[in-house]
Amino acid sequence: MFHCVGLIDAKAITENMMVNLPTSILRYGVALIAVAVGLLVTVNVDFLLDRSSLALLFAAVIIAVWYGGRGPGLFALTLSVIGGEYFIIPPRYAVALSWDTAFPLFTFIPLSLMVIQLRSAFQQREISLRQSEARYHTLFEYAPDGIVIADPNGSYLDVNAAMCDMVGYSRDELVGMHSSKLVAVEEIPNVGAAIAQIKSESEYHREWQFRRKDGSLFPGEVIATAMPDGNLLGVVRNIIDRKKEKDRFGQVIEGSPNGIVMVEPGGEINLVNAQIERLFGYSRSELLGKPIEMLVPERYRGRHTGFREGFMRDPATRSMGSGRDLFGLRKDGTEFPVEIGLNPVETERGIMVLGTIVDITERKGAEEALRRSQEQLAGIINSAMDAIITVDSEQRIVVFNSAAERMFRYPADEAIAQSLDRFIPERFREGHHNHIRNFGRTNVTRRSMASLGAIFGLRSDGEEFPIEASISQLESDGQKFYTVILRDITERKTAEAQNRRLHETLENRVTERTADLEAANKELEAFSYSVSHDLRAPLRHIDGFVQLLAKREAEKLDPTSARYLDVISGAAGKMGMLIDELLAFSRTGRQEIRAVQVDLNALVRETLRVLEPAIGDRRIRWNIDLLPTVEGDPTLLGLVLANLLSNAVKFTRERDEAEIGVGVLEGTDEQATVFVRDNGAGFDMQYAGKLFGVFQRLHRDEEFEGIGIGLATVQRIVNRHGGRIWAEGEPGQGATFYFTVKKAQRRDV
Amino acid sequence: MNTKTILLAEDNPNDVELTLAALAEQNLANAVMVVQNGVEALDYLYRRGKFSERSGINPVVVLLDLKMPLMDGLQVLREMKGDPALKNIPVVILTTSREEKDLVESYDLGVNAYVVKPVGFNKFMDAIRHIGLFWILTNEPPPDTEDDSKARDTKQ
Repeated sequence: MFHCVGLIDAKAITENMMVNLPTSILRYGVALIAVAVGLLVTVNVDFLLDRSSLALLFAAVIIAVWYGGRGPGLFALTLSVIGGEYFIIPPRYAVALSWDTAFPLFTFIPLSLMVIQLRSAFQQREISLRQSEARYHTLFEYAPDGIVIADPNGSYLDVNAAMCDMVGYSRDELVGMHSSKLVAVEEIPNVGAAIAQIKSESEYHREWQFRRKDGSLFPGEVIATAMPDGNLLGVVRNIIDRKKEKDRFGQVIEGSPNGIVMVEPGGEINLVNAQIERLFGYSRSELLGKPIEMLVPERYRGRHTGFREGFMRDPATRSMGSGRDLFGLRKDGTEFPVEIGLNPVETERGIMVLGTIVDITERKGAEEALRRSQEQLAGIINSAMDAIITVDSEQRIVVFNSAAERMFRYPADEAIAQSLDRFIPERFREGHHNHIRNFGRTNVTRRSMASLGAIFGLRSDGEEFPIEASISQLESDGQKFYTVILRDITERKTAEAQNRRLHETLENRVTERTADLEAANKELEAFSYSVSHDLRAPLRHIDGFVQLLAKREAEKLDPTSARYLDVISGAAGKMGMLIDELLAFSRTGRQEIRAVQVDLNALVRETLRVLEPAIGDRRIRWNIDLLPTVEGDPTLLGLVLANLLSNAVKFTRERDEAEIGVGVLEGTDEQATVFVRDNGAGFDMQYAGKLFGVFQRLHRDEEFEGIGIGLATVQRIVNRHGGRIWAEGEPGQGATFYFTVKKAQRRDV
Repeated sequence: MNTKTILLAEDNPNDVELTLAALAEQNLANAVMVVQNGVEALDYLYRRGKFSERSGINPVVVLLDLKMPLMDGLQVLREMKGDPALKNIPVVILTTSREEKDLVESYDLGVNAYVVKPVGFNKFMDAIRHIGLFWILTNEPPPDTEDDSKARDTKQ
């Protein structure tokens, strides 16, 4: 750029110089006048000269050339030849030429041409000299670096604009100033030394601290040399930016989180940064100048030297010991894993090696942890009971665990990279693809596939089996992976089906049984309905007509006949009673129990009220305890108390003073044990088992009337309430009947 | 002449005879109209079939047996209590058994009394006597029972 500007400028200067020459008219005018004067003088003062002398014309040409240059010279020569021949060469004032008179012309023309040529050459040289000077001046003036010219003592003779700008002085102030005035105080001795060095070695290159007019300093690079004339030429460059950059670069190196070490060709440490100090535990001074092998564990040192020399033979940027684990050796003797990058750096002292050292202890730890966790995960996946299969977005299998191997009867190493389709029955493949695609579009990370309904897997031997599956998706490095967890539910399905069948069978059986039972019940109901109707009617008729007969024949009947009719009538009545009792007993078996809370105290009072007619005017001592509230059917429980109490009343008939007690034993929380005790006829315990049988009687009808169905009814009611009944007794000493019944759960009632 | 009639619906001739015998003791036997089953009972009440030419007023009480061929007593009761023209006629169920089911249904249908015929004849006599005395002599029958033209009009 600057060069261009310089050249253009130099050209402009040259042109300017040409324009400074006299104008063409003047130059040609001078030529014309010179020739005219030459002719006039020669013609008019020819007494002084040879008639044929062309000396003055020659002088005129020289003048014209000297003043006007080549063109006017040739112009003057032409005029001189024409004028000379006409006016001077004899015969005068004629154009005629003779060999002897033309001779002066033959001398004159070459001489003039020679002069013209000489002048022309001289002029050309002058122009180029001036151009060259202008060019150098431009360079000097426009150079970005400061340029000074000083005398051999060091005082400035000239300075350029850049130098002025750099130091803040004007040119006038600088010219005559000594070089030492422009440098920092401590640099002044160097100035003298520099001048001396230039004189002896003719070249000087160093950095100085320069001082500006305002006293501020800046670093400058100085190149100085002696010029042929003995003066000194100096070039000064402000290198503050370069310095700053270098400092910044130094800071970058110093502050780098990686350890950086520069090693000299011979293996000595040339430079380290702070991280190296931290990593290895040495201070900088302990490292500089020492062999790099001090940082290498002993067992690698020998090899390291070899490697280092190998690197020097073929220096290229590369990482050290690729594929091998590298270790650094700390000052305290401990080792740590490192990663090292090597860069050759060319310096004036040869190729140095810049090493970048990273402590990878943590990374190694993390890698180890990752490896362990992966191993664990693999272990878990492989020991899982469920098949775990991971596929990529192309449905290619990436993970295939042991359970999957067993389930599909296919080895994992063959399954990997295969399409999942291999394990899906063909008719489900399309549906499965759609499902995966739709699932991939959602952001749901896990979803049960059971919603698909029955899904099936395909074993390597072609067998299909029902599975239950759930799917999850994971995006890793921009790729989607789907993990499917599968469970073979063949057995479960079979068991379920079997269960269902069993259940159905059982249900059918229950339905059948229930129907049978219902039918039986209906039959029984119809039967007892018929019994009560159709069996009683004839009895009624027997008795009716016996009575009518007895009335009609009252006069004629002898006592025996009359007794016979009484017996017939009594038997019919007895049979009617039996039928009634049997029907009642049958009803207690079929009747539905409507369980409510029943206060036994109230129930006993009510029963005694009903019994009053049977008691009549007998003396009975009643010992009735406070009784619990129980759960049961009040009508049926009333029947129990009525039977037990009427029995007690009946069997104490022989006692002058009967004693009848109703009480409760200490029972459990759920059950109450109620008893009815009397001091009546009692019974022999060996017949206790017969007490509760239908039509079982322990007494003759003559002693105590009855048909033997009351206690059977009582037992049936107690049992149907989930209770138990039993009796204790002794002939002549009385009897006690116990029964258990469920207590009401709410005590406050 | 006593115009009060008792309608006895009973299929068993023994029962009919015993009932009549019992009523005879009260001198009420003449007023008894006996039919063999439910269909005849309704025919009588509606003056249909062989009773189409029946004259006279409605019975003061209907004694109904439950178990009868063709149509049982409950059915007759249902028809009577469902017909505004007959529903006011007192009905007494006179039956052999005391089935709870029958008892409940009879009262649901609006029976006026329910009597179980005792096995013992003396008790039976007592029962019949009470019925006769009460329904024929003591009880005042509903007004339209005596207005026979009205019943006929309603029916036609």
